[in-house]
Amino acid sequence: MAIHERIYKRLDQHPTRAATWPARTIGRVLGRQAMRSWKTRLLFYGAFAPGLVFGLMVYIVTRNEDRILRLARQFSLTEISTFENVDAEVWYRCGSNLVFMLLGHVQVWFALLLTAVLGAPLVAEDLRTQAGEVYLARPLAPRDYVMGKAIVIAQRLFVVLAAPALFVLLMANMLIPASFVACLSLYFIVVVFSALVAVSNAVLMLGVSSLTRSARYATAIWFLIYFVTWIISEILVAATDNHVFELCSWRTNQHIVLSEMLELEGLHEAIMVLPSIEHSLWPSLLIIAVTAGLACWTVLRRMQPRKV
Amino acid sequence: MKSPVALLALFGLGHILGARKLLIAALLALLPAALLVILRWQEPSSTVAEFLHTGLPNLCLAVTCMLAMFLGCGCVRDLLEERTLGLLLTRPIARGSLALGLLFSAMLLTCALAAFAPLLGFGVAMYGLQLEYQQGEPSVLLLSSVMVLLAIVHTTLFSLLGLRFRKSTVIGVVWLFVVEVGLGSIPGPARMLAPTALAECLLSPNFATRASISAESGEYQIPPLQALCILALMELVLIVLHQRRAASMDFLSADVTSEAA
Amino acid sequence: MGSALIECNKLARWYGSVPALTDVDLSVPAGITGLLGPNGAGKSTLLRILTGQISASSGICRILGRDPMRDASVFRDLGFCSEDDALFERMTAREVLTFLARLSGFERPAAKERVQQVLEITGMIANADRLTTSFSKGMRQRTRIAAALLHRPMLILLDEPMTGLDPVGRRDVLELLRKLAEQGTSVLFSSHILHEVGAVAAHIVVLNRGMVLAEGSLAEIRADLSDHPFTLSIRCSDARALMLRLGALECVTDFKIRSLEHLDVGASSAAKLLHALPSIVLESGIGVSEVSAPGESVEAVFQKLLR
Repeated sequence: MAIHERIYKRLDQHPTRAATWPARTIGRVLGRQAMRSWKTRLLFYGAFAPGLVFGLMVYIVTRNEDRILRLARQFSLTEISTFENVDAEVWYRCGSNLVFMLLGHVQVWFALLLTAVLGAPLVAEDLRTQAGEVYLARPLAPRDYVMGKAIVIAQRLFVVLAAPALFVLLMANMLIPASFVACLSLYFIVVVFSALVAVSNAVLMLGVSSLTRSARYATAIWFLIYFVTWIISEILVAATDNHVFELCSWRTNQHIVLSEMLELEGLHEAIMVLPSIEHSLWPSLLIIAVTAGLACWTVLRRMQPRKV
Repeated sequence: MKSPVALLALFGLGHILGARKLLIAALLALLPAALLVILRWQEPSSTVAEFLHTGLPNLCLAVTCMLAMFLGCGCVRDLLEERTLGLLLTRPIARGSLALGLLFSAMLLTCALAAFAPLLGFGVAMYGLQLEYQQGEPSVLLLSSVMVLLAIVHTTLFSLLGLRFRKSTVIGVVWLFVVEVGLGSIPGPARMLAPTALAECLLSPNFATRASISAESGEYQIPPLQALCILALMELVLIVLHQRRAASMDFLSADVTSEAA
Repeated sequence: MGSALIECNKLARWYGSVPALTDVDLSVPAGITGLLGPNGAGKSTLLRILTGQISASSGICRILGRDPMRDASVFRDLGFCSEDDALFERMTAREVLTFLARLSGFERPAAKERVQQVLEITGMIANADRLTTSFSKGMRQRTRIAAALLHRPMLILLDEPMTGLDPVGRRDVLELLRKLAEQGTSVLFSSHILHEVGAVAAHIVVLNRGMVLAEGSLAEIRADLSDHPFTLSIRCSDARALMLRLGALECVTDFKIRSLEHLDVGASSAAKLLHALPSIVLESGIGVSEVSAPGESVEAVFQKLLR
């Protein structure tokens, strides 16, 4: 059965127009069902491991600051003089931003896998088993259905993206209490970015899942969208040196949003491991929003009764 | 009478050709040509000529891997999920032959698209865009042949993953990242385990790939003949594993087909 | 090969920690055999093991003397129609059947001819050239039964063959099973609808919770149950007088007088009561017009076994 019996009972009540409980009920029950597989649980809880590793790294770095800087100078990783001239607040903020940037990059991979594992069957299986009709036979609006399904993915993605980053940030602030005020905005950025990636990934995955009746093909299309657009944009940017092509990649757009929110422009020359970004925040946000909107429209369209 | 394997291969081919997934596979195969058109529209012909030497082989390698994953994972599992495999299992055909026939159908299509992608790319560059790139023309056949070889190995591999795992696509992506991208980039004999790295050895020095970069920097490199032998051996092992898995598999068991179980 | 077409010895199958079949010992003779059991009894699992689609967790199974998991040649003599409502999409019924016939070893002209025959047998000739996606459930079921008959097997296994069929379709399938049996083809079919099994099956296997509860003809199963409590309904000229006479028997447990001429007698042993009844009637001179055992129909036997 694609739907838990408890949903039936709950959804038989008549919701008001603005009620959110139908979506929350679907999200809660299906979410619990999705986490029943030990493999999914392993992936979900495994996604917290980078947070622990980064936390450990932060601990080691704060306890051995001088030694680390000496090593960095030895391997020419940073221009130390750049940092020696900045005040402590900027240094703390940049350091925290950089840690979150790197952690965010790792977490986005987990989010990618988790989106595929959790989201691929959500609509595809309903189309295959015709369970969608069971939902829509209840006093439910199609938007409740989409919202409920999106909650299943978005809730977990948000936790996977935000929790490790907040943990590392809290740990850094506890180890260096003076850095707390400088990093205050980063708490907000972590939450906003995590929410953005979680919601946009969830809605896009639902759109992809609604294109097919097989969860496996939904997974394949999801990865194709992610990687093919990335490869194309990388090739085109490398060949033409025109950075407009970066905007055609879903991954790069998320990367741009993160970089812009963290205001890392000033760090590019100082820290060589960071790629330079030549875009503003808004085009990427707009592309993400339009794509998510299209995906949402696709799901709603697929859930409508078919004309005979 | 046609052999059952041939009959099944034809049936499998018809099954894929009638499905919507063919559209996605065809779009993937058209990717190199489309990129060439965009490049030509943006840049002078010298960039396109350089792209044919550097970008195109790597793009074709990626496209072949993705095509094989897309078509290979589902060649048997599609029927398993549609629950129509039972109709074939109750015919007097060995399970190995059944899986082999379906594998051949996916392999045939993957090879055709993998060979077609670079050919079309070169065709667009040479004749569509009127590019003068005489040196590249003989190499396109090499590129196509290597893509066919890679498609054969990868389709078998992904079909085996499809027989073994329900979420074979996720496993396939992890494989591509860990083995093909990760292991294939490590200098040393470890890269022999990555079929893409072996295919790159066959393309070197005609095309700029990871293998040719390694050769230039004096790192360990696999001779083309050795790479070819390893690929053949790999395919043989994969086919044997594929047949063994098909022969011993519980095709219609609830834990194979049902999410709930 | 012995006289039994199917032989199972200590057959068991587990789905994770859930037992689907437990120590099934079975011997199915030629003719029509009904596999009877409620939903979830393990009928489909048993048939899937018998056709080699899944393996047994333990035990041995031989069908036509061969192991279906390892020897695909058994399917030259074996036809199977599963309960899964699945057919190849984007193909017509004729194309599906022709393809399956060719896989069964028919040359193209012979395959076409045989397909025409089975389409006629199953009443699908009018819809043969329609895409299977446009079929109703009953038409899909008929097509799959046709697929099982294609290669003239000597044994056909049918899993819930009447599912999705209307009453006329059900009657046709039952009639088809009878005809096949007359032509020498053996049939094993599963059902949870008791009167269907009772109508055609000479041999019945009752399964519940993965165990064989009873096996044999309906009469044999009934005889096995003779020591179980049962009720006899008697229409006679004087119900009260008969009640007094029968009350002397040890095996009689209770009475229910429905009318002056209709009596229900409850007994702890069917065999003892049926043995004593004729002599009591003769001695008393009470006229008996009808003796029936409402609890001895297939349904009742089934219910008793399940209890």
